[in-house]
Amino acid sequence: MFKSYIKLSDEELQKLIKNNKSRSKAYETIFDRYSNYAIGFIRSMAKNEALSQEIFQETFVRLYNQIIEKDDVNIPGLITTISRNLFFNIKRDSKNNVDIDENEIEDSEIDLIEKKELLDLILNAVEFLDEKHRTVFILREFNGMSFKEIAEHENITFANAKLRSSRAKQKIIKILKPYILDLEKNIE
Amino acid sequence: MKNISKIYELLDGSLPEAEKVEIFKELANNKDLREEFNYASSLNKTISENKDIFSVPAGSKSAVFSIIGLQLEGVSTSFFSSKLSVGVVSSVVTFILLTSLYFLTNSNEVVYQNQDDTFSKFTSSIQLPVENVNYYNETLEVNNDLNFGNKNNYDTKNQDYIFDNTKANKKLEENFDEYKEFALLSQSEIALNSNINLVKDNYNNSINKLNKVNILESNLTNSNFYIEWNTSVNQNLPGETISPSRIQKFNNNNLALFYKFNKNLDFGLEVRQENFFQKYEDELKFYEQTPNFTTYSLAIKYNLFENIIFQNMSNYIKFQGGGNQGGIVSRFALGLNYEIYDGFGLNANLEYSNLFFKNNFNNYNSEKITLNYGIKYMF
Repeated sequence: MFKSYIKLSDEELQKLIKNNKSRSKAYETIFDRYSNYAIGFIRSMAKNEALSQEIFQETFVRLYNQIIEKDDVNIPGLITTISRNLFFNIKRDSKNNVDIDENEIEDSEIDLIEKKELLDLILNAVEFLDEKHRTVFILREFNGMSFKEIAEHENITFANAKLRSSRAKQKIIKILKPYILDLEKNIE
Repeated sequence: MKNISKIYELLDGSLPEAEKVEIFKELANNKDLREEFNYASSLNKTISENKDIFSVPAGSKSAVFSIIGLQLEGVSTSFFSSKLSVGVVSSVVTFILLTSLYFLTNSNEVVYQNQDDTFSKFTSSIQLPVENVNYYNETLEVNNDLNFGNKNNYDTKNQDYIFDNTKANKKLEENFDEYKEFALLSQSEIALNSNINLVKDNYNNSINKLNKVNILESNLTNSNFYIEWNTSVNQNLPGETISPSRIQKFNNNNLALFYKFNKNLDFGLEVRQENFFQKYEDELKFYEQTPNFTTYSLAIKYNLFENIIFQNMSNYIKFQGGGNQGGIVSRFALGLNYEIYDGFGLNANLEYSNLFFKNNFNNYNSEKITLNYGIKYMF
């Protein structure tokens, strides 16, 4: 990765993407920052691995075009919007086939879908976090970084990294509380 | 609120042992905290149970960058992948070029082999009476006994060559008079033939020696270093694509510094801006791109024949090995040199190049055939 770019904010990277010379490095940094989050979100929607990969690639292609065309976009928000739209478009386009596939879903798969519902909600909630909490949450939970690594990455103290992570989780729980209760009732 | 933060630390496994006891006690007595703990627990559990869901599929990154037409710099493979090494190599090549130019333009010193196989050094050029050859041709018919004084001059050390046309002319005239007298006196055909042969031998010796000196003269004006600049026309690469722009515009140029080791063998360093058409695959699909590379290489050139087709035209074969940010490059070329004027000439060759590169632990080769043409200048 590029040490000079890794500590830049999403907004700073978006400005660099608009410059021909720094475009590749800046977009690669964005890709590395959000690829885990994006694939997690997409896989929570699409059970099919090949379909997930197709949506994942197309999402980052469209994200790039959006960044080039617009200023200061909410990147995780855009990732979820683009991938969700792509998923529903594909599903709509192959509607006839989907009906048959849906009939063939086995009980074990239904279980898996229920387990992934909460994950889907979590991933949706991430886009409502402010950037500093969202970044720490994604780095910690999706990219598997330690607090020490996050502190170095974000140029903050170790204690601050821990605090931001717990605040992010608190905010997510606050957003998801009603949904979690519904989900638990359904599972019971 | 403080205790809520501690719940997340507890679930993360980063809460100190002493504080764990305190939080467990608090959990036992505080219903709201227990509720918060349950939510946090299911959040942590959901994410940790689905860790595999966040792993990015291999090859997706290069696929995305290939589609949007960006060069993926972070996955440059193997040879010269670090920016630092490219910088160091380019600095070394530039240093060699500049120092070579400095020394070549500040010294006329040439090693010269004498007749007695000793070596002398010249620091300035010498003037040679090349016109003497014509003079000998003109006088051969009438002077059959030219055992003249120049022989003594040639027998001296080469660095002492003195060609005094006035003296030579005078001597020839004297010899001519002596010959006339001798011819009249002896009228011996055998003696005459013998003398003719002697003159021919002397003449041939003189011509040979003059040719040697001519070669040395040319060596004094040209050093053993020369540079070549070539541009290329690729024969088997796909054309440029605008949208998506994954096949880029070609900018193929190369600059090389060669050292003439001997008559046949030259060694050189080359810096080249060029394209290779890379085609590789992963489990999903094929990828195609034609990035611009800066290739550094070492070259060995073997000169085959001189004066083919035209005078001053020679042919050669060339082998090269080097590398760029993509991988390892090897080349073979067959070419022609045509010297137009005193060290300056034209160069053209037909070249086969191969780029060996890796992607996702798989090996690939990218081949191309190019016609290179340009100029050459010997210092």
